[in-house]
Amino acid sequence: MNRKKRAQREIGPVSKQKKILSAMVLLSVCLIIIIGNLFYIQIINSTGKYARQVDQLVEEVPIKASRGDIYDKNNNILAKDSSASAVNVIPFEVIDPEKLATTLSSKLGLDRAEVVKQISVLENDIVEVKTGISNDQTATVLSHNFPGVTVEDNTLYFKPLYITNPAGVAAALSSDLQGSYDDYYAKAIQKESQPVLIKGKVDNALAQEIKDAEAILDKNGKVQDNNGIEILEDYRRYYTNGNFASYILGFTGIDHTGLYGVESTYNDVLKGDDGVVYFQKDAKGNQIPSQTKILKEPTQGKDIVLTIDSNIQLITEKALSQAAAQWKTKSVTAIVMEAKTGDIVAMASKPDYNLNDPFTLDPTFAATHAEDLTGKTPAEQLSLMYKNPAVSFIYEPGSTFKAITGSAALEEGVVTPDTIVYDPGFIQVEDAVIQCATGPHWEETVSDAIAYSCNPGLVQIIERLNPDVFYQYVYNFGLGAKTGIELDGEESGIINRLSTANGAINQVDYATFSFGQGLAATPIQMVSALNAIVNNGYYVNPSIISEVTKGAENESLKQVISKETSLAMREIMRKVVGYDAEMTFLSAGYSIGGKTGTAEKFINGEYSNTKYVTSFYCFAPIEDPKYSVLVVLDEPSTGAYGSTSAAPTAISIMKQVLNYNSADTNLSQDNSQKLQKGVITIPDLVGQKKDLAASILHEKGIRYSFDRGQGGDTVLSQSLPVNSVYDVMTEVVLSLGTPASDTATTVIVPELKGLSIQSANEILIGLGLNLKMTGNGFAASQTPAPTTVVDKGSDVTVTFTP
Amino acid sequence: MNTGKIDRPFLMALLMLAGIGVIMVFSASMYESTMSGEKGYALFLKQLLFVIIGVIVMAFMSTVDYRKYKRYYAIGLAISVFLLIIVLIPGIGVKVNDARRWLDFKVTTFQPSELAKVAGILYFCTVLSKKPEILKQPSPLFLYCILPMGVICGLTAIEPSLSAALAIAMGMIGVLFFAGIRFKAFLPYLGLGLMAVIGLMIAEPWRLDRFNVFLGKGGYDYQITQSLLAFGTGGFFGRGLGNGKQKFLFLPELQNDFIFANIGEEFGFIGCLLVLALFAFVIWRGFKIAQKAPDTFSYLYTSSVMLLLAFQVLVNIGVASAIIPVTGIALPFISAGGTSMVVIFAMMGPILNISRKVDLSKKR
Repeated sequence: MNRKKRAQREIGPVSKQKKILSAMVLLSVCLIIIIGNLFYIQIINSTGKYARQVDQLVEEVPIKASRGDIYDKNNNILAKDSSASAVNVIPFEVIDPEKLATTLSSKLGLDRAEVVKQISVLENDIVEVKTGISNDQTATVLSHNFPGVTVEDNTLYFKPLYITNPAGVAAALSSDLQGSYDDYYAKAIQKESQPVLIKGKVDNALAQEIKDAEAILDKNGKVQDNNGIEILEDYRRYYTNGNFASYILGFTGIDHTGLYGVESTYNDVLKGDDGVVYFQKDAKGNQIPSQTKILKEPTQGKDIVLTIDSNIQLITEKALSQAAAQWKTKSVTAIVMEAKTGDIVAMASKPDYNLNDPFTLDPTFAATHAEDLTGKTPAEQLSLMYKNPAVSFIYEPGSTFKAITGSAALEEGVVTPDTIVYDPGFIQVEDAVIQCATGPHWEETVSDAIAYSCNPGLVQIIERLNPDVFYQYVYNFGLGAKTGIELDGEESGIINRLSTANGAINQVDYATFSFGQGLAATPIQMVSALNAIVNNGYYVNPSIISEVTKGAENESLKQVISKETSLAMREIMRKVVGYDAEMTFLSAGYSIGGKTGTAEKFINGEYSNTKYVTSFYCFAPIEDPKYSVLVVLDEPSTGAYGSTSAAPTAISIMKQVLNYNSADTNLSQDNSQKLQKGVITIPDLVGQKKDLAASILHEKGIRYSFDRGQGGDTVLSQSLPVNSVYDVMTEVVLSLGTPASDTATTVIVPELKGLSIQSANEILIGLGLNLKMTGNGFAASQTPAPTTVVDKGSDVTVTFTP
Repeated sequence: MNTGKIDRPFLMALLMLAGIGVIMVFSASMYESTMSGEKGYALFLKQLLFVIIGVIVMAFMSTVDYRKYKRYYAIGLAISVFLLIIVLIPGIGVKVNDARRWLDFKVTTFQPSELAKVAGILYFCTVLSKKPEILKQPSPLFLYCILPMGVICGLTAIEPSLSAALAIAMGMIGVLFFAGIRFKAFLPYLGLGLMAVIGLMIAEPWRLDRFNVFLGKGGYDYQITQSLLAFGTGGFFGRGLGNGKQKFLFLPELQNDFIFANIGEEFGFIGCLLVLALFAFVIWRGFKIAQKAPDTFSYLYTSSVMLLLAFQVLVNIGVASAIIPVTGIALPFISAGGTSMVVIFAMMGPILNISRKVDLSKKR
């Protein structure tokens, strides 16, 4: 009984087996489903998964190569990179777009509407919207053909940037699939989650100020967010002397590519080559150190050395500023060339522009070029300002060209310097009468005809030459073709050869060609051509890049005229100076020869009798020329001639150049103003960071100290003026502080007393103020008073009295 | 019949699974540990420690005659219920992510629901082996079986830990099934249980959300998408140990509930098959032991523990590979865990002891 009862309680083996078997069958079915599903998700449906993982994991970031520095021939630094900030916004993280747009547009001086557009740009990448979309639903969703809506692996994705009709998408999808209209709509207009560059090359201090202004605090008063602002490291180009050698150096654009000058022509050398680094980042965006690979090392940009000598450049720029002020020129250009090598030791034009602020129209340029600028967009106006007159300004060379006519005739032997020509004050060529501006000279030698700049004399000289031969000389002297100097925007000039109906040369045009009319050349072409005449006939290519950078060139020298002809021409050009009392006086004590030129500008098909281009070419020493200097004045005030306007400037530059390099001078001692070789000039450091200022001063060998009075690390002022010559016994004191931002809206009214109307106006425009004037003469009183703080754009009323 | 030796293939398979677990936890947790300021091997050491403790506990229990546990069936249930109640009391139960599931014993934390799994099975096995007839009588069935089950599952569910409640219920239902309950008698209670689950879902909307997401009616499930990326990039052979990318915080809880995704990524389809084969072997072997078990208690215990083990494996892998909605059940022997690891090994102890009484080599 007991045993039987026990047996009843026990579950029989068959029953056990049945239950276990059924459990195992059930579990096996589950196992097969699991395995089948794994096979599906791991093998069949795995395409695209790898790409999506890479998408969320990997980031390729360029490593910026640093841009090379630019040095002058004495290794003075002219341009280098300095630290700056790039202000970016992550639109997805923007909480208060109105405030952000206002801050950015006001502090960075940007167009508000443009900023609003940038900070609200839509997501460019995929946004995951919904998983578990069945195949039927996929077909329905895709049937709408909405741009920017895709289904992949049963997951619905949006690309908001491509969605043209977010409301339509949201409406359609919320009815096709489950889910609310609002959710779909929000995803369809989701903002970009990557940083969008608002402005690069921004002052570090200003960038921080913007970030702080947009800080959003949490309840504990900690900064929780910066309204989507992200400040990234950037750099910008710093030009040690601002308005200095502007046209030679040029500047770089937003993407750090050289836009003008050697920054542009030597961009490939300077820029180096960015590297690429391959980062893996985790879900929170942290870089994973062990998974970082440098795919390509950056190649740092190379430094370049120019042929420019900063001291001669400075001498030249000062002389030009003087000439510009005295002759109220539209533009004035000078080139100083080493006669034997073609190296350009100085090249300058006034007005120019500030390389550290190249996107602001220079006020002087705006004034002198007002006629050209009217009706142009700001961008067009700026691009006019950037044109380098030394290589792009084409003008009729006028009488300076007579040296070329003379050289060709002497070299061909059709005349000698002593050949007699006859000038009754005019010459008849076919139906044209050509006047002599300086004669009549009656009987004169060829050399005097050139020295007196006698047009009828030159006509008689050129008429002895076969036009084919003559034109060959013109081309041999490099006219009508680019010189190939390493600068941007060079023009070829115009060499016309007009012929009559029967194919013969037009005799009138040919005759006027002799004294430099009917052709156009650039200053660089003229200085190179004339330099060939004095350089024993050898034409050397002008160059702005030192051999240190480009390597020694094996150029075969091109001899255009013989040494004897060159000697004869130099003697003739000595006479040019000798026959003119003022030039004789100015060059007293120096062995300087030259040739003047004055030409009416050819405007709208006729010669203007009010607008001139005057120029003077000179070289020294005559016995063995070392330097050639050409000065060209565009539209000087009435009464200017080559001999009165350009010549004094050119001779002044030449004398200083010779003095500066006293080893090269061939002159009496009493004229040497002791200018030492390698003289050091003070750079413009205001607004720079302390470290950069220190490194520049260190490099220039200038002793310095900091005045930390106000705290901060930006140079607010410097004790020695910019471009002044550094005395090794002194040191420059830099006052540090925190700058008022560039875009401050208030300015301090300056003291204007005693200034002319033009100077007062220039100063006020520079500060962003408007001049309201009464009276004439010099400033006597003003409202508001000096040192008053006013808003930018305010009027300052100034009373002028004679 | 009594060979006196434990079933070595069963034990070897268990140890292999635990070994794979230790390695995979290391691989999965290394980055996250480093990022949170700990040593990269912190979790690996912890896992190793608990595996060793678990193995020691299992070894010890395999030497204790399984029949002795019958004595503790009531007290075990009572302690479980007691702990499940006090864990709900704020101040005693530790609250993590809005759920009070843990007791803090300073040295380690402890989940009463883990103990309840064992206690529930032990209680049912003892009661049903002593008095199998209660299965056939409605009132004792309710009093001795359904009520206790309802209490511990209910207490677990309101922690809230629905998945643990389901696991406890699964273990206990397993006992009922293997004891031969008639489907008709159990059906009403099954219906009641389902209604309770639905009720909880409505009460806690996030559960419904998860379910909706699974059915394609909700939004976007980040975890599942990332888990599928892990499986998809693993492909057939996997990327190799330690080369997974989803561990870089893309897949949260990778070393816990989503450890199988890491296996899928680093060892591919092949690695997944191997792990599944080991589990299948353990369960198959367990059922064989159950079938040959010397008495009803050992039969019920072994088979229901195997069913619970299978349930946990299937649910965990089902979640990771997007077959079923997201719910938090660890992968036994493999997922990182402290008490759960010790408990699962402890549950294997009596089975090893039972295997001493069984000769599997004997052909029928």
